[in-house]
Amino acid sequence: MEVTRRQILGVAASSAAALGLAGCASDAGGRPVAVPVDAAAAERSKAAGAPNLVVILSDDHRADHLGREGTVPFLQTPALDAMAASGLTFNHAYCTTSLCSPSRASFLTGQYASRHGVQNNLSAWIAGTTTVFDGLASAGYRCAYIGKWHMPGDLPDLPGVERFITFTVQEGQGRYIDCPLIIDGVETPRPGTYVTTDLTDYAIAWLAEQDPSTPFCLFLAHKAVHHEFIPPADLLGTYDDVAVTLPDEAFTFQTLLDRNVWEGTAGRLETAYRRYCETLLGLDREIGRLVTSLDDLGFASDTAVFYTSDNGYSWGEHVLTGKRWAYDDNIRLPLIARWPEGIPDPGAVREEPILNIDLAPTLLDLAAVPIPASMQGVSLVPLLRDEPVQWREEIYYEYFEDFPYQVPASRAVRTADYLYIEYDRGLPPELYDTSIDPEQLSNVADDPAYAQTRAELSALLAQLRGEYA
Amino acid sequence: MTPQQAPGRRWLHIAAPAIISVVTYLVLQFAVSRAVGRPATFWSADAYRLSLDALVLLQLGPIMFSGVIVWPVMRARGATRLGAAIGVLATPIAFGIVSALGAMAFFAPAEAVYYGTNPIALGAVGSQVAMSGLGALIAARYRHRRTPSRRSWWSWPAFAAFIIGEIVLVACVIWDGGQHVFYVWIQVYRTLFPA
Repeated sequence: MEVTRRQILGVAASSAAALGLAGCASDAGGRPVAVPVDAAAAERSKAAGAPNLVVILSDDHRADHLGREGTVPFLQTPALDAMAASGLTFNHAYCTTSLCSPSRASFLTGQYASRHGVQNNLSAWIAGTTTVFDGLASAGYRCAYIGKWHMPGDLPDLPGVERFITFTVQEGQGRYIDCPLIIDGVETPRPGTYVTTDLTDYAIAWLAEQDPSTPFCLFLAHKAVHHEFIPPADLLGTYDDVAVTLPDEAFTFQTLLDRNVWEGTAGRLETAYRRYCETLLGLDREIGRLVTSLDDLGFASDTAVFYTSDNGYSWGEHVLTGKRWAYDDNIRLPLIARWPEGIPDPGAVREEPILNIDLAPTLLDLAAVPIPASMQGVSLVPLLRDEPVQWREEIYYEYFEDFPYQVPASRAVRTADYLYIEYDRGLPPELYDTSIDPEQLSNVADDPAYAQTRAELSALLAQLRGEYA
Repeated sequence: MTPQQAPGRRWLHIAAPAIISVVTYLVLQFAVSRAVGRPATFWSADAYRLSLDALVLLQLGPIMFSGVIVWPVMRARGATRLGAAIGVLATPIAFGIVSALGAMAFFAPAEAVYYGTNPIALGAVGSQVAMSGLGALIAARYRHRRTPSRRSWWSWPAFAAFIIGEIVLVACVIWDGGQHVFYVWIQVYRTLFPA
């Protein structure tokens, strides 16, 4: 076989591209793009007394890891606990796909991954996709997106925001220490910084620029508490001496199993878990700082603040370390809302099943912006206001293949009492009776006593797939 | 007088260290796959954890470190450099193949084959190259002490193998948990298997 010089050069060029070298000279993207204000929409929003909006999105924070839950005796999250005490906690919030990129896109678009197209950490964000910022900006909101974008493909310019601060290093995962930022399209080194603190500083600085007469929306997306689980220096080792209780099926070096090895936790599971909790402690501190700044700036009473995460995380359950499965540890989210003017019963807990795709319509609803038909979520405003509302009884979940993680594509339905999962390949269906097996350890899919339940859930799953996918 | 060995037996004699390494890995792999997630089949929770941890860590021996024995023993038994190198790399290659076979359940065959070239398999190859160099140096030193000669026991090629292998291991597995190489590997995957 004859290899020409042209072929060799072609292979060299594509290899360079594969190594990311070609990207060095390309446009970084990440610029804010102004959206014209619709005067009528802005007037409607003003007349409705629309609140300011703040969304704090963390990464891989599992729902039961809040100090006030008491599930982890040593864990402290005083800021989130205070938020919950003065606001509303959604006890059954779920993501539609338990993976960073799809879930982040769902938060911004109000759509399932099947529709917005970011199905895994490799499928690109489609330029021109409508986000919640389009509607908010057209209603006169000043919007900022600060933090982890982590959608595959080139970093887009983002319509509707006036400030766009993010990072693209390490495939968009960013770094805890010295993470270079892209600030309104300009690559900016940040030596000597801790990313959670740095992003919070930028968020607070942006809040301080806001004029009380113009509503704003701040979307602050943290890298924490994603691996590499690096806490702030002063918190490192805080939990070194506490006793860590792992699930029965877990063991210290399960992190080296094929199913877990790409999750970035290789080594002692207990050590990674302690660092995770310390990183969460550091995140909580920064959330407290942001909420305090809202108070100090006089925005607190008419600002609706939401705290949530993109997905949960397994720490040994099902011998898993990670987040890609349909089990509750992975799909359940912490979701806390704080809105002094709008929440009538501070400290209340809601039990309705909530989805990440509900956030975007909620923000639009709060801003008195019509919710586009393309959004598949439902506004939480009636629940926030404790108004009567007909609510969904089950949630539909989908997961798409994501090389190299050994998790099959799957779909699941979660009802109040059951979790039913179907896989595309590799694994048989799973059915868990969560009323008696909350940890979802005993698969009863082949138990004759559950044959009818399985058939009904399978039919329901097919129906939901038809509606949402 | 040394009895004459049949060629097959002689080959087996030379290759035995590599075969033992591969078989040890496969047996441990089988044991892990049978025991994982089944604490009830053990007599106590501690026994389950201790056993699984031990099995998983023991696997690292043949995958990562057996070259320190395989190389010098095969060479001492008459293996050529190429033969010994194949012997040393047999276990990490087996590891890559087992990984690829496991990935078949989740990915298309071509993707599963690519999975077998993952950074941990590459790191294992690096580690085994390093261990071979180390093994060669230790064996040379040992021989030199037993039968002193004026020739130096030091081997620059063996030392170079140790250093290069360690660099590969560190890059693929240890430096920031191997994530830099991991992301390159994923980029190559994207190029090979565009969505």
